[in-house]
Amino acid sequence: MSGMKPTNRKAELLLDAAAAGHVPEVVAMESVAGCATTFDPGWEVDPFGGVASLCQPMEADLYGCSDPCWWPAQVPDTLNTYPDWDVGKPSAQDDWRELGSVFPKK
Amino acid sequence: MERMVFNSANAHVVRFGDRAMLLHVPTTALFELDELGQSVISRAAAGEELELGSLQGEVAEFVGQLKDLEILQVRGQERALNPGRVKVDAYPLSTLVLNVNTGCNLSCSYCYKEDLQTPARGQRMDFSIASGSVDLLLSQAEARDSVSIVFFGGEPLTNMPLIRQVVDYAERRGEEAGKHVEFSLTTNATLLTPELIDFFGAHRFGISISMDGPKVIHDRNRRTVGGKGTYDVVVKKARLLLERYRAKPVGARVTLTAGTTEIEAIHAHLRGELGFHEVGYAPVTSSNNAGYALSAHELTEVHAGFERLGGNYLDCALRGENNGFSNMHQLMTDLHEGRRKSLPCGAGVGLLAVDREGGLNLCHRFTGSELPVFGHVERGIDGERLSEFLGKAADRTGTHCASCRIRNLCAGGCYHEAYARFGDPLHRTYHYCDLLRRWVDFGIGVYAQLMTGNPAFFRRHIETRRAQA
Amino acid sequence: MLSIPRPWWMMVALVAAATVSAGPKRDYIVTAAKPDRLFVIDPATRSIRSEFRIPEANDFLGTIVPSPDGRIAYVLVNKMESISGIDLDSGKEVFRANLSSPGERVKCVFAFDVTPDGQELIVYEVPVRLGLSEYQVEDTRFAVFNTRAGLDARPVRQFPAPRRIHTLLSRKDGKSFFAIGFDLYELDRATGKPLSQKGVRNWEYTNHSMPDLLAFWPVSEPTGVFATPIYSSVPPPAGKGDPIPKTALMTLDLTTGDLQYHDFEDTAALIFSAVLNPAKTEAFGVYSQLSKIDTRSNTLAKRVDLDHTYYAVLVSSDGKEVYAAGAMCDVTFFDALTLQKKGNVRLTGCTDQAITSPRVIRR
Repeated sequence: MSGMKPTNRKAELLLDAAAAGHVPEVVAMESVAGCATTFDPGWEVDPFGGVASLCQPMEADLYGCSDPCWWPAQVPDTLNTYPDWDVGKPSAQDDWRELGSVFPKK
Repeated sequence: MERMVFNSANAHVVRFGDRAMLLHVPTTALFELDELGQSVISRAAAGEELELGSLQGEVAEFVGQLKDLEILQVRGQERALNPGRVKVDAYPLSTLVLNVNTGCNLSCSYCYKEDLQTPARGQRMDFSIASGSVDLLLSQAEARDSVSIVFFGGEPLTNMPLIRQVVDYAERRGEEAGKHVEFSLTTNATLLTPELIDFFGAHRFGISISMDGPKVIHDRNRRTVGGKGTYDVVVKKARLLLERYRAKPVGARVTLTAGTTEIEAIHAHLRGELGFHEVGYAPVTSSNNAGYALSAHELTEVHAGFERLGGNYLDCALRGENNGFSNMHQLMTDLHEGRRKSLPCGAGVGLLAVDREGGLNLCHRFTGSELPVFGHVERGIDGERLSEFLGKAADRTGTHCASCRIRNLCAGGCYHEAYARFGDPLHRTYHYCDLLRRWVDFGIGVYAQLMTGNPAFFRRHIETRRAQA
Repeated sequence: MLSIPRPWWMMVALVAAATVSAGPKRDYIVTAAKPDRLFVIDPATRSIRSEFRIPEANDFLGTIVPSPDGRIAYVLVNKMESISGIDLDSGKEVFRANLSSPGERVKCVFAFDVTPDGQELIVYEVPVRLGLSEYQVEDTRFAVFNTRAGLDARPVRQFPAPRRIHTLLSRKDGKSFFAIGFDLYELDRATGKPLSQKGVRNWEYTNHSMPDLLAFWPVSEPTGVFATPIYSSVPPPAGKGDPIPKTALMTLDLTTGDLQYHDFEDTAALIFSAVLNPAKTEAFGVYSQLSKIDTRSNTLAKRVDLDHTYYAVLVSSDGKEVYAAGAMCDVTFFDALTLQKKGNVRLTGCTDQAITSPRVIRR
């Protein structure tokens, strides 16, 4: 029993801030965009409108894209938000089955 | 040895059943208190001093936490935790309200429009002012990807030619500026036609209909210039819109005035029978025509009705359903997001209203009023005056708000309500403080039950609203 | 000759025992692979010469910049927030710059280079201030580090930088450096003073649309000329039909500062990166095919399909061999004349190189 537990997200944030001594700095939430660095169409289609010019095999491109946060809609943002998504899975062609889903943090 | 006392200006406990929630007032953080928490807090709130040094274990840890959060403070050094001086000097406009015509084809008794006129004498906005407004909005909204234009009046449908022109202009200019433009309007619905509905749909307008409830209630106040009730026409048009309109959900806006407090009957009709997606209730608590304001007793009745409808909202939400009670959605969103407001609304910061002459007003309620404008579409925003006004609005020193437990949710209340009642937009709306505090308490209880009973409701119904905000 | 895979610790022991042989300089290929490995490959024996571990790489391996003497490889690691300098003989980390600090997250988005005298690293920084629940984007900047600053290097100078820089290349005389982003910028190394700006997005290629450029493999060896494919389109003949996509080769001479671009084909294959041969008569480009471009006639000379996609292409100092690397876990060797595959080195554990930029060193 610890006295109280956070119910809304603000409360979680506040407890973290209190632990770090930053209570006065808690400010109103701003929404933040994701990590989109480009507006490539992603893996669905290549520049010619087909799939033949996508990376062969697709796994060749997997980490090349997720590492610099290239196509955020298709892979988790490993640059900032989900840095451990591919830890322990260094070979896309061998380890892709082990890559899991990610869910928004509470 | 430091003696700590509870500061009710910084924390408030809401109990329901055997549960207790703690609202951290400075941040709108919400906690649930367990047995230990409840016991410590109730002792402290009853006036007991706590000496941190003489406590041990869990209690000591918890009390330390409360001290960090300024819920417990050293006796003699108590102070309400408020943000430092708020200075507003950027106006990241997201919304402009255009008063396209002061004329209206109806004559609703309680209408707050300061400059309302009959259609024959209605003053229409020129396209040059309207287009200038669009330009101003796009240039002020530098960092935003999307902006909103709201068409208001009088009755906006009495000036469709201007609306069409503005839509065309704004879409083009928006594309050039790389911004998405959203349109919306509130209408009395009497002038809707299938063609107009399709036009609005093509441009994805957000539409609200002003409707007060079933015939008996609606016709009390919403009448034609000649004094006839308008329900029969409005309900036909509302049905037409609700059947035909697919671009966005359609809401109803209800005005509650003297003699009109039957919340559940109104909701049952508008939501249950007609099928409005959402119904929002605006109680008139002050008005220029004092006869229309709800009396203190009626306000209490309205509030009680809100709580009953809110209880139904909770029952539905626990089942994953949405009962469309817009005021509750708003409250749930504020609590879920932990919104901490320095200002009661976006007037002057995110939103400005343009009157016929191109004057920039705090909001649509002020167009045509005697409150001086804050700039002009052609000359720009009068930053100095607006900044001064907003700075004062955010400054709670010397007011009851400085220590009120809902100061960061209410933030002083509607400027126009204050202006209508007290003649001063910066006057705090003390006349409904108690009710609003009770409303927030109620909301906290509902929120807590929803977070334990069906937290998914927030993802589906509340967080999507945030994305639209 | 294929190498027999050995455990990495054995490789390090072997290398530690060896000394750099005196004698004529030889090419080596330096590349990196997940999770934190740096490899030195001997193209003569087509084997892994060394394999090192980069400390705290945090599963991210980006741009590789070798020191001019080929002794140290500077690698962008740690989600673009650190640069680690690894001694290629001992495998020890001899330099580290951690760009972020509490409350300020700084990422180098690919672009950094070493100065020709080996003394400084010029790093492009994209900083953001982390509030408790909000971000404040700050202005981009170049930060200069002393390469002898050890494991806790701090910038010795900083100057303002344009946004969206992705390639940084020192000029050969060491007095200035080039940054490629929206345009090609040249800045003074000592003061950061902007010296010139040439159009990239706003190139002056008559009749051509605004181009599209993807370039973060900063290879300029062995010629000292950086080359990259660049894409645009031209209107169809007689104005009828769709615009025609064109691939050009863009070259930046790091000695003279000369920037050139010339179409060499109607875009028929995607090319990610390119390299000029020592004679500057040909360029090689790679992605899912290996392309050879004749740079005198600006035509496609030859194109072969590859077994899989590679991101990076390198050429031997004598111009006889072409190396395809990056993306997956191998380096493949081709005859520069025929584009025939000659051999292949599979990195230990077959882990991905992803977007690291393999380089050729000579020592």
